[in-house]
Amino acid sequence: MREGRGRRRLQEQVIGTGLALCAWLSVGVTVAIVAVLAYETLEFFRLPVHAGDPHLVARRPDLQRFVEARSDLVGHPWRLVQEFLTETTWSPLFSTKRFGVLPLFAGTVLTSLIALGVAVPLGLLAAIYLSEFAPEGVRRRVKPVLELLAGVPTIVYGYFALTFVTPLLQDRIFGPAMAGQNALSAGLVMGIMILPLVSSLSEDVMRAVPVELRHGAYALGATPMEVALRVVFPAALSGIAAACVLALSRAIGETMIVALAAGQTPNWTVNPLETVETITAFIVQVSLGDTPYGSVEYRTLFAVGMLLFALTFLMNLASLRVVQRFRERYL
Amino acid sequence: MSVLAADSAWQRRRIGRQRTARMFVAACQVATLLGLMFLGILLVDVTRDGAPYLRSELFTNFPSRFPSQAGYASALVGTLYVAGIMSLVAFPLGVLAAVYLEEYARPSPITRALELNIANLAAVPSVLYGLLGLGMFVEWMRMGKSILAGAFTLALLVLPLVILASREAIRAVPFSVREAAYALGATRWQVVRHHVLPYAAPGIFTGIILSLSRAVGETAPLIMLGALQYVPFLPRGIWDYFTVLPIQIFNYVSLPNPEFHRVAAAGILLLLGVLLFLNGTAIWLRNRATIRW
Repeated sequence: MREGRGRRRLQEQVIGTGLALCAWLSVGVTVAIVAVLAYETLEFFRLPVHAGDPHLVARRPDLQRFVEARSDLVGHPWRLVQEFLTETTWSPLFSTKRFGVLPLFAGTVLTSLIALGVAVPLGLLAAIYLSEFAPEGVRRRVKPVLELLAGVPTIVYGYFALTFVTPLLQDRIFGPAMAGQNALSAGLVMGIMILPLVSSLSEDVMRAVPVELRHGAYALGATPMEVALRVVFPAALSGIAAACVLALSRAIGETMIVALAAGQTPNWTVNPLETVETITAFIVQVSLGDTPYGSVEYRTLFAVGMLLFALTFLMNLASLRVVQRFRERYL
Repeated sequence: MSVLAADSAWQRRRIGRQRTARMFVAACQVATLLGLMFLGILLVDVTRDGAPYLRSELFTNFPSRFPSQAGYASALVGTLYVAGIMSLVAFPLGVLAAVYLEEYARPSPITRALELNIANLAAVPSVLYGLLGLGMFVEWMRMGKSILAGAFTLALLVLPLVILASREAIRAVPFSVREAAYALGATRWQVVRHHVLPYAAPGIFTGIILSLSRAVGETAPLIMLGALQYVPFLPRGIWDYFTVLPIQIFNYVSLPNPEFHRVAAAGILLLLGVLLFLNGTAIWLRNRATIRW
């Protein structure tokens, strides 16, 4: 009896430890992502240092090609950092390599802002309708259907943007001024994709606003619009802001729509009719080509990946901060 | 007189405010309808493009230079392989991690950090999981651009989703069930194994199926791990090169010949069919097996 209990306790401990390991694996994944990105990014920025070492250069073809392309950077890693952050030409795939990441950054911001311009107004209005005005039966049916928009694979949206939205906009509105791949179509379609993110989350927080607040406002003679915009909306603002930031983060990280519909040409522009390349689209472009392990192109993948990680991480952090700052408490 | 004037001014303002309110409600309705309309247009457009190309050869033919002979055989089998292996890795790990967080972990700053980390992981862009897979599985662990590397990468991608969904399901099991089992002398694991998990199973399976459908539709991370334009053979093992349905669609869309766009649309219909089946199963499971306490 005693022995059996001891064995069972041991068994329990083993199981508990095993389960804890499974949970800690998620931390391992985070560490692995950061480690891989950081290591390769560091290697990228140390290219000028390694290229200054004749022994290394003799052994590594990637360094030889780096020296051929950019002898001015050899021995000056900080110059590479400065170029990466401030210059407006991105051409690591050409023979005259320039490493100014700003065009990719601009492309990412441009398409994401267009997407927000679609998703935030439409998503918020839809959320207000579902939460404040729609009959219960309509809400129960419409909400899951809207959420289907977020479940459609992004490759389908990419196809839609490239073969339907762009030709439509070209024929009806912009004519030949619009490039076959452009920021506008990609942004618009991306806005449709993130619409349910805005609407569903906002609707959840709006419904969480106590009904007494609405009753109070109606009793003072407010119209439904005034109740929605001046009572419910401000009360739910923290959650709504978090939803919008989350949607922005999703737009920044979205890959297939922009890779197909926005283009693969880094372009330092704010004109939405032109072809632009986003950070994610560049990653796809390099991955499609034959990039040997350890080459300069291979390392640029991780350098821009690190930038993308930092951007989306900041977004998530900001969304947390916003929630804390504007949170309204009800008893 | 002055009271009357003020009164009618107030009346006018009230009517104006009510008119604005009606217009606002209408605008909200239109916005909701627009969202639904987009979904409708998307589906109609893809169906119109792809339906004429839905033939049985899509299932048996390999990629080809000729649109009329191009098919998805290697992509469909590749998707099966990758999704299968991914399921074997991600689902047990995810469910067990959820069990730990719900049943074993005591509330502490470390547990909170663990939870925050999982929430953050769920928001990391999928393309970065591709870079992780490329750096870790393909190069560092020398798996090459193989089915195994692809499956592992997708497993890490869906892991946080599985954990979040499973926790939700486990949390829904009332505490009285656990207390009854503990009162009879059951150990913690016996409570989990014989009581909590069976009751949470429908919810867990729903979450698993939704994660699976997410993985099946995922394109970006796998492009880094072997987006071969041309895989004219069925995979013979887990170390083979591979292609999956969304990547094959991507390849056809990026070809200039518009005929290939129709083949891509047909592939999209296949993909949507698979996803519809998976999600339908999830909804059916949820409606059928939900226990009301």
